[in-house]
Order: sequence, then structure tokens, then C-alpha cells
Amino acid sequence: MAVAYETDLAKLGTLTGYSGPDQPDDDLLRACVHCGMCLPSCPTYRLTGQEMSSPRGRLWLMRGVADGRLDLLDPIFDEQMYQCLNCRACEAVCPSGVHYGPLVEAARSQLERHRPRPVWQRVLRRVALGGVFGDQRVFRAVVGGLRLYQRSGLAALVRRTGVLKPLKLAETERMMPPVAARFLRPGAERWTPSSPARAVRLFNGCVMGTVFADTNRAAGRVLAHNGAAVDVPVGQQCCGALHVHAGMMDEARALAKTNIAAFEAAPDGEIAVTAAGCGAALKEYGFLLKDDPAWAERARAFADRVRDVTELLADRPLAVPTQAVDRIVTYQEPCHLAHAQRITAQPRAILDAIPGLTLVEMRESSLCCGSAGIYNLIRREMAEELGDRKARHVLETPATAVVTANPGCAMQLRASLARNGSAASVVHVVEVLDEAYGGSAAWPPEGGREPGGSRPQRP
Amino acid sequence: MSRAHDHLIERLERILGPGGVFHRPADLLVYEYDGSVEGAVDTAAPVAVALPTTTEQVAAIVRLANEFDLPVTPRGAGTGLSGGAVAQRGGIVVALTRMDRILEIDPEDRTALVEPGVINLELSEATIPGGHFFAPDPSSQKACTVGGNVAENSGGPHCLKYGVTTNHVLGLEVVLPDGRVVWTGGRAGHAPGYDLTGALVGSEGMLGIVTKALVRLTPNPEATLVELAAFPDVESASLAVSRIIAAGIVPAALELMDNLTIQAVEPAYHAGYPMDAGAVLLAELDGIAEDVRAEGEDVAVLCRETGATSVRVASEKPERDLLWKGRKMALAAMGRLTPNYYLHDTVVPRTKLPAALRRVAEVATEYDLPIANVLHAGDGNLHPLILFDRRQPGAVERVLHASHELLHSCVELGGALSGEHGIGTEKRAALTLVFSADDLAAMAGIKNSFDPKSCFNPEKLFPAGYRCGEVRALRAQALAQKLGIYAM
Amino acid sequence: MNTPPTIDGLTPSALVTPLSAAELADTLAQAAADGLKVAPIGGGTALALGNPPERVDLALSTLALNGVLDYEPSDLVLSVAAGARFADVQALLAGHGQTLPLDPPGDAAATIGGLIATALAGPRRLGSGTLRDLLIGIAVAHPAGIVTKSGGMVVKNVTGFDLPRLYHGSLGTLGVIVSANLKVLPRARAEATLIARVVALDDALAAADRVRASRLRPVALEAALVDGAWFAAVRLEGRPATVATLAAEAAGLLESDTETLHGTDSAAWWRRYVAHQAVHAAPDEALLRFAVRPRATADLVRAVLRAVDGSGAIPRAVMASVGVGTVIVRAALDPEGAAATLSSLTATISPIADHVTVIAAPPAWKRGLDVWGGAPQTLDVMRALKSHFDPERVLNPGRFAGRI
Repeated sequence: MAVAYETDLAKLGTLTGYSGPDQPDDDLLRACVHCGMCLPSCPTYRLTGQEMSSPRGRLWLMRGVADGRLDLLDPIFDEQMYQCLNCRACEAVCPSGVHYGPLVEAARSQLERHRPRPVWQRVLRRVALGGVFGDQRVFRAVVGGLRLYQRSGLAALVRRTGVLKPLKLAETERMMPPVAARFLRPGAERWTPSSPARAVRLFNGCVMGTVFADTNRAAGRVLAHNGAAVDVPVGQQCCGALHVHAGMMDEARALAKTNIAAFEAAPDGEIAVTAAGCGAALKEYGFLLKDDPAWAERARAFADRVRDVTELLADRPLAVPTQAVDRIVTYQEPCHLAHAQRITAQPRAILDAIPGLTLVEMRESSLCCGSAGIYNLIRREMAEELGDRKARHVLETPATAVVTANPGCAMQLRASLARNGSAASVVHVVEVLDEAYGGSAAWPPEGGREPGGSRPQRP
Repeated sequence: MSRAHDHLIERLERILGPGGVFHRPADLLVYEYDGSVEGAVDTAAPVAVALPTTTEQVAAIVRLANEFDLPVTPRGAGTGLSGGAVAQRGGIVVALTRMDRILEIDPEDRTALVEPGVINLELSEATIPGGHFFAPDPSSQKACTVGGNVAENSGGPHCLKYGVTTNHVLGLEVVLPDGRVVWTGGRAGHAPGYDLTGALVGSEGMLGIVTKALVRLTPNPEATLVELAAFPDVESASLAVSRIIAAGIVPAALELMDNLTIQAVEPAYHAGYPMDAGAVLLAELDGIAEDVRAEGEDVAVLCRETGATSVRVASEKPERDLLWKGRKMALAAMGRLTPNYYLHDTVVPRTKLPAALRRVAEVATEYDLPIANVLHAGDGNLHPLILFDRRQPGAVERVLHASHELLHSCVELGGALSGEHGIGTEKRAALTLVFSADDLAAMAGIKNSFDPKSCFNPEKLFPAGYRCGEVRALRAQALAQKLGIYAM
Repeated sequence: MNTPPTIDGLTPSALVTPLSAAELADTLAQAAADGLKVAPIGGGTALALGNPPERVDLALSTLALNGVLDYEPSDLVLSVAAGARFADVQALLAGHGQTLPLDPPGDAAATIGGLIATALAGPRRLGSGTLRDLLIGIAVAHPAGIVTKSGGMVVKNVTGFDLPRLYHGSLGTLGVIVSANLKVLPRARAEATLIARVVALDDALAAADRVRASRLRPVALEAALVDGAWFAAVRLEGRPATVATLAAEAAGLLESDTETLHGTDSAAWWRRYVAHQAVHAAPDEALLRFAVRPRATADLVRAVLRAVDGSGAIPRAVMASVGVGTVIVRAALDPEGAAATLSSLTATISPIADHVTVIAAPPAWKRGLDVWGGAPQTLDVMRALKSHFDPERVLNPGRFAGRI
């Protein structure tokens, strides 16, 4: 997988212009007036200082293809479309309101459709994105294997012997946090306060529901603490974000339809998401399915229900946290929260409400950490450079923990901090809030009453 | 490509390493523009782009360009609005984005030594904790580079009180067009000889490439106050500007926005601008706390006297930022209203602002183009924003005609062609509106003294046909005429 | 005035006073055609500045180019002919509550053109900058017989190359300034000066440093020896109430026997102080200017004092602009071997100071040295500029840096 996207600079043929479905929208493309205000927000531009690695440059390349001045199959086009982290920081600062994300995704989709790739690359991509992320059962089996690996003593042995180094997998291995003891299965757990004021449906997510299942449980508890009856509807699948980012639109649409149907079966209440990347993708289902008459309306209705968990919590007065969390933290903005969803104040407001906690801002807190979905697996060098830069900024602060709100960021931050000699831990916003509410102790997994008088229920 | 081309690339790679040179067509494509409006400035691709990291590399590139007889175009972030960074005659673009280190901040001398690729705002962010800021603050300050500011002599809202870039540059390390590295100016004043630093600032990359800039830092003001006054119309707001100035108050910034701008900004950013106001005036006062308080009261009174329907005062940073947000996001808000806009930049004497604004309104009607006004009212710098949709047939032409009309009117009112965006290729043809052949000959003298081969950033600033050779002839002709050697 | 003034012992054979810019340009062209060398003269207050001219045939006065060309108080800009006297301009501006925030040496006689050409600035440059910062447009007559203009009448202007700054301090070697457009500022409503009498130099420097580190933003801050006494001087401006508050704060910081002057008394004190920097030298003295980065001012002034003492010279005035990095010294030298003393004095301080300039000295002493302290690194560019604007070297030949 690590080499799946490395650009083969030999030209693989020529193709003029875009064709078929999912072309970059021409009006959107021409909304860019190349003013350059996006440049400093772009992680790849910050690292390289080169125009083609900037949002403006990439849009100009896309225009070049549309105008027939640049071949769709030019290796530089391919290189740049995939070098982009799709962090969408550029969108948040664009004076002209250019929707960059959908454009780069459409360009990638064009490359997916038209670019001849070696068979082994295609197979790898199908297996990774289609097979593993496309099916929750497979995904859970893989993560289950990982958990076994971590606990069996094999992990320690592997690290000691360094056998993964030659395979360039050592970093990937290091990134993996301890997998939760128990996965969160849809339909299996719910959190209900004694007198619920509303219903909230938790979107589980592939990584969140497995590796970070305890974070999702914390989200369930804090939402319940704030008066919501929380459940995890059955039938939900991967959000499809990784597929959209990779330009695999057909796969993404299939997943979207499954999710829409699953949550239509739980019709009332907002859909809470604990992974910023999933949230951004779910909120864009309307755009993804806009050309499908049978689904367009349903997708829009679905997207309207989606909220990031911090957004949902900050939506109304927060139940006052009572337990002091004496810690200095800094906050890393997940790109798909800050830029794609424009949620920046809410997580900070939640942290501010926690007694004992001190939030110290680091430099460039909104610059991508280099995770960007699976980018850190396929563009290791650039991802590591961004991770190091991030770790340096964390080390400049007295923080002992980095708070974030996305699993990819959490894994990338873990690895980067460790590599740069930082002992800071990485936690999700809801985990800190959960701690301030008394944590799982206040919500015993089996029976018992928590101080607020509500009772966790397990069917 | 030809052997000579291959040879050039090979030599460049020897200087910069393979990662520092771009020459494949797709790479060059993205270096054919800057921030200028398409239609007003032509795009043009170089034959190679060099991204140096040291002064020595810049010098070596320039010597190589000399050897190959190629033009050189320096480039910062490429946010310029007059085409300054576009390689109109091809050649080598020297992009300084990788020379982005702040080398030294000296709070005692109140200076900073920076490489040209340092981003304007990030310099201030680095110096503010130590008690100082870098005063020039062009609207693109989040993205533009200090090197670019030096080349364009950038202004910004706060130059009303603090002056423009040239007032804040103490010395420059420069690679001259012959490849030599020299220093002009420095930490100490009274350097002997001509003020070449002064000549280099605002020279649009035509005289040399700045590789280090020694800039002045300004102490953070002790107190800052922002006032937002709403007026029934632009005239009364302009009158308030005159009255404030006449009262002996020099605000740090004095910005005016008209109703069209308010209509775009307020719904998008909720900065609290009254939607029914004909214009709002944003005044920032800073300095010693006692003075700021007193001046703030005076400004509020003057605004009310001249017809302000409301005055909001903000002294704490979050409130101040909110009031500024509407101004800072004005362009963004416009961008969302219309597919395209042409941001204009002209300047008139302060008292001619009402006349200039009337003219803008007339031009808007005449050409059937909505024009919004955001202006640095304190120093007479107008930024008419022409809104259009380039997909409409003839729209671009209409916009270009309208802008030419605006330029003419501002010159007639005693103004200048550009307050802060530069001439570049955008306005070079209009230069003869303000300068005679003799005036241009004097400017060409500077050009020739630095760059006798005329290889730095060609096709900029001077109107077509005013290149070196012609200028010498012109001067000789002027001399001959004056001396009556022969009648013309 | 029909008698041409003497410049470094050389007397031009004629003095001409053209009545218009065009006439002045024609005069220059004629001089160029006739192979004459010209020394432009304004108020004649700074003729001692520069190396002795190689030759002077004609003194060219700008005094007939007098008067305000355009002044719109609400625009805070002013256009004046080069021969306008600085003092007259200030009087006019004062009538409208405005000012040029400058205190150059040269008494009432200095002209605007002369001040631009010589780039002389007084202690106020700490708080208000120099003419360089106020210059927004300029018109200059060249030996080609043409008058060229650049800049304009607006405070913010990037239309074309920035020639006004090139002419500032060019000592009339590129052309003769015929008019200038200047940014003006509102006059401060009140001012105060605090003079702290101290025992020694170090006390004056320490007092000045405390003021510099405070919230006060003095427009001038000096540590000086004048009339045999050391003192630190602070000039404050602003609204009356603020100035009163700040003056009290300054008195506390100065920590010594402090005298406070207000309003016109304050202004008058500074005029007397700046008079010590006037560009002329008695037959037994030299006026020198040393420049360093601001943080090195204290070291510089100590080194200068040591060198002056070591050379046997007697300091008549030592004036250090703290925060600017300029030290001006007026010293009496034993006429016996004075030229050599002066040379060794400048040589001793050269390693410490970035720039050493002999502002004024008897002509005989100047012959052996370059008063500008050596040629700048960019001399060839400067020569190219000179040869473009004045190819026949009509204007002030040899007087400027690098003997341009």
C-alpha cells in the first residue's frame, strides 16, 4: 500500500480534457481568481514553497486540463492531485468561496476512471478501500487481528527486532494506538438519561467504532449527560470519505446509500459524529448524490441531520462539568472539522468549560498534521515532515496532552510526538469532557445509577 | 526542447539541485499568473523556475541568466495585482518562497533581518510578543511576502499613521542584475552616497533581487480603540474624514465602506454594520492610553456632528476584531456575490474623495457595472471593486474601459495611478497620463544604472517603446531641443 | 546677494539666481554646454558639507524659486518651491495648526531644497523620522536642460520609480531640486522638555535608557555635553493633559535634578540645542558625525570621547541621539597638525562606527581626507546614476561620497 500512489513519471498515454461522469465543475473552477490568499494555509505549499503544490496551482492545473492545455494523463497532474491532503484549509480562507474539496475529488475521480494503472496498484486499492473499508465485517476482522497482535507480545517482539523497518511499515505500526478491548457494535449499546430531552443517533465509523470504541462510548456518555438518549443505529457502514478522497465515487455512493437507509430507519434526532473526517463526508452526501434523482432528496435530508459531536454539545447550554481536570492541553484542529465543517469555536468552548483545564494555543493549530485520511500511509515523507512540524509546535507549549477530534489526526499525532521525543498524550475532546463528568465510573457498564440519576442500558 | 535549453536546465540544476528547478510544461503553467485580473494582465510562462534557498544561489542564477542572455523575473508569493511577477518575456522566474527565514529580531535596535520569502503577517506575529510589529499591512498580508512588499512598496490600512513600506526598510541585501551581491543602507543611519535602498523599494523587481531585508519594527501601541460610525451617505462619511484630519487627529487607520459593500459583508460576517447605512467609517486610534481615550471621544463627536446615526466603540481585542472583520472580509464577501471582480487601486488628494466617489458612481451607471467602494479614506486611496461575470459576452472589455475611465478621472482630480498595487503591466500604458517623456527618461536612468542590459523584469512599468535605447535617444533629443542645436 | 559665497575656500566667478524652474534648467544646460561647474545653493547654511569641490565656476541660487505652490490643509500636503525657507514654511503651516515635524540645523535660513539635498536631520528624527519620510513628490532640473518630476500630491503613491528618495541626500549632484511636495502633520497641542543635569556621561546614558525602555514615546531623546555640562534631554508631545502626565513620569525616570520646560520655552531650548549642530566650523574646530546601530550608541559615544581626549582635542559639544545611533561632536583641535589629528581621529573611530562623516572643518584640514569616510560598496551603480543625470559632471563635482 505504501507505494500505491507513487507517481510513475513515464507518461502512460495522452488524453485531452475531462470525460464521463464526475468532472470538475467548470464554473466552480473558474471562480478561482488566483489571488493567492490560500497559499499559507496549504500544508504542501508550506513545506515545498512551490506553486504547483498550492491550491491555486492545482486549480490552475485542473483548468489547464479543462482547456486542453494540459494532458489529463500528464504525470505532474496525477502527482499534484494526489499530493494534496484534501485538508480544505484553503476553502476556509478563500475570498472567492471556491469549493476546492469537490474539485480535487472530481479530478481524482477522472484519474481513477481514465488513468491506466498497473494491475497490482488497482488490486491493492480495491482491496484496501473497497474490500476492507467497504465492509464493516472485514474491517472489524482486520482490526481484531491488530488487537491480537498488540496484546500477544508479538508487537513488543517486532519493535525490538525491527523487522518492519525494511518494509517501511515501522512507522505505520508505531502510529497504531492500543485497540479498544471491546468494539462498539451498532445496536449493542445505548446511553439514556432518566428524562431524555431528545434523541441522538451516533454514527459509529470504522476506526472510531473499533480502535477508538471507548471514545465513542465517552461521546455517548457526555451526550446523555446533556440530556440526550443516544443509540447506535444498526445497518450503518463506512462513511465513504476515503473513497471520495481517492476519487472512487461509485464505491462512495454505494456506502452513502446504505448509511442513508440505515439512519432513515431511526428517523428522529440528530446524527452525532465523533470523527471529523466522517462528519465532513456525511454532511456532503447531498452533493455526492445530487445527480441521482432517487437519492438526491434523501441525501440532503440525511446531511441536514449530521452534527459533529462538539457542535451538538455546544448547541445548547452545556451541563456544568464538576470534576477538575488539572492538565495543560493544546488543541489540534482536525482539518475536516475546522476547514470542511468550519467548526473551531465549539471544541474550545467545551475545553474552556472544564474546571482545572488550561488550554494553551500552539502555533499553526489549524495546519494539517499530515494524517489526511490515509495520506500518511501513501505519502510518507511529506506526512512525516508535517508531523514533525506539528510536534515541534506542540513541544513549544507546556501542554501535556493534545486534544483533537478525529481518529486519523490522533494516530498521526501519536506517532509524530513519539518520534520527536514528546511524552504528550493525545485525546479526543469528548474524552476530556467525559473525565470532567466523572467518566465511565459515573456510567458503570452494567446497571447502577450515575449521579445524575440516569442509567446506562444494555439490551 | 533544444540543446541550449537542456544545457540551461542542467546548469540551473547544478546550482540548485534537481528539486530547485522546474522546467516541464505542466510545472511552468502554474507560474504564468500572479494575483492580477485576467484580461487586465496577460499570463506568460517562463522557460524555467528557480527556487533558491541562499543568496549565493540567487547570484549564480542571475549570472547564468546573463550568460544565456535571458530575462529574470523575481517572484514572491505571487499575490501582486499589477502583473509584477509574470515573466512577460519568458526567461527565468526566481521564486523566493523557500528563502523564508526570519534571521534576527532585535528588540533593542527595533529591527528585524528577514529573508524575502517571509510572510508579512508572520513577521508581525513573531515580533509582537517581544513588543513590536511590522507596520506595513497590505490586505494580502496573510499571504504576501516581505520581499514582495519591498518590490511594490506596499501600503495597507495602517499606513495612514505609520507610512508605507519604504518608511520601514533600513537596508537591503541585493543581487544586482550583473550577479553581484551588495548591501544598501544598514542598521546605522547616514550611509554615504545615494539612497539606493530608497530607489530599490517600489522598483517592482526591475533593479535587483532582494535576498535579505533589514526592516524597522514599531513598538506595539499601549492602547488601541476602534470606532464604527454609520452614515446616511458616502458624502457625510467623507466629510467626517476631513473633519477628523482637520481636528489634528491622525488615526492609525480610517476606512470607509459604501452601502453595496455593507450589503455584501453584513449578512455573511455579522460584524454589526447597519444594513441601512449609506456608508460606514471604521477608525482605529492607537498610542498612549490617555491620548487614545481623548481622541476616541473627539472622533465620535466629529462623526455625530457630520451626520453619523450611530457610533460603536470597541477597546477590547475581540470586539475590535469583530468590527475589523467586516472590512477585512469585504473582498471575500464580494467574491461570493459575483463570479468575478476587478479590484482597482487609485489615489486622489483626500479632499477630492467625494468627487472621485461621484465619478465612480457615474462610471458604474455609464458602463452598467455594479461598483462597490472600500477605501483607505484617510489617505485618499480608493479601491473601487467592479463586479462582473466574465461569461457574459463583452463583460471583460466593459470592465477594462470602465477602469481606464476611473484612472483618467482620478488623474484629473490630481491623483495618481496607483496607491499601493503598482504599475507592472496592468497600468504601464497609462503612465503617460501622469508623466512626461522627460519624467520617464529620469526613471529610465535609474533602470539603466542598475540594469544596463535591461534583463530584469522586462515589459513592466515603462510604457511600450520606452525601453532603454529609446530613452537615451529621447534624452539626447530633449537636450538638443533645449540647447537649440537643431530644430525639431 | 550678488557676491558668490565661498565654498571650501573656492569662490565661484558668478552667482546666478534663475527666476523659474525652466530658467534654472536652461542655465544648467548652458553651463553644461560651456563646460562650467555649478554649485547649487539654497540658504547657504550647509555649504561646508562635502569634500572640497574639484572646481566651481558658477553658484546657482534657488532663492528666487520661492513660495508655496499648493497647500490644501485638509489634505495634509504641501507643495513648495525649493528656495522656500524652512522657517517660513513652518510659520505658514503653524497658522493652520500643522507642521513639518523636523528640527534640522540651519536656523531660519535653510531652504526646503537644501534640506532635502543635504538630508540633515536633528534630534527629532527619533520620533518623527526625516524629510525622507515626508517627501511625496519632487521636481528636479537636470543639466540636460529638462525638469523632471516624480511622485505626486498624494500621500500614498507607487506610480513609477521612487525618485524622491534617490534625490534626498544626493547633495545636488543629480540635479537641482526646484520644488518638493511634502506630507505635513497636525501640530502637537502641547510639548514639554525635561533636562536632567548629571555629573557624567554614564549618568546621562543611563537616564536616557530608562526613558527609552518606558511607555513614553519621546520625539527626541539626547544624552549630551554642551557648555561644559552633561545632561539628558527628553522631548514629549501630545495633548496637554497627556504631556503633563508623561512629563511627571519622565521626571521620575530621570532620577536627578530635572528642569521641565513647556510650550515655546521647550521649542526654544531645542533650537538652541540644535544650533550646536549647525554645519559650519570655527577656524579651530571640526564638526563630526558618527553613526552606529542604536544599541551601540553608548559604546560609540564612550569611544568617541576617549579618542577625542587621546588626540588632544577639546570637545565643545557631544550630542548623542539615543535610540537613533547618531553622535555629533564639535571639537577644537590644535591648529598645528590639525589635518593629521582629524585623520587619525576618524581612523580611530572607524572600526567602531558604521559611518564617520566630517560635517564641517576648515578647508585645509579636509583636503587630506574623504569627509564621507570612504566610498560605498555600490559606488559603480552610483557612478552610473551620476553619469545618466549629469554626464558632464556639471554639478558639485567631487563633493559627494566617492568623489562623484
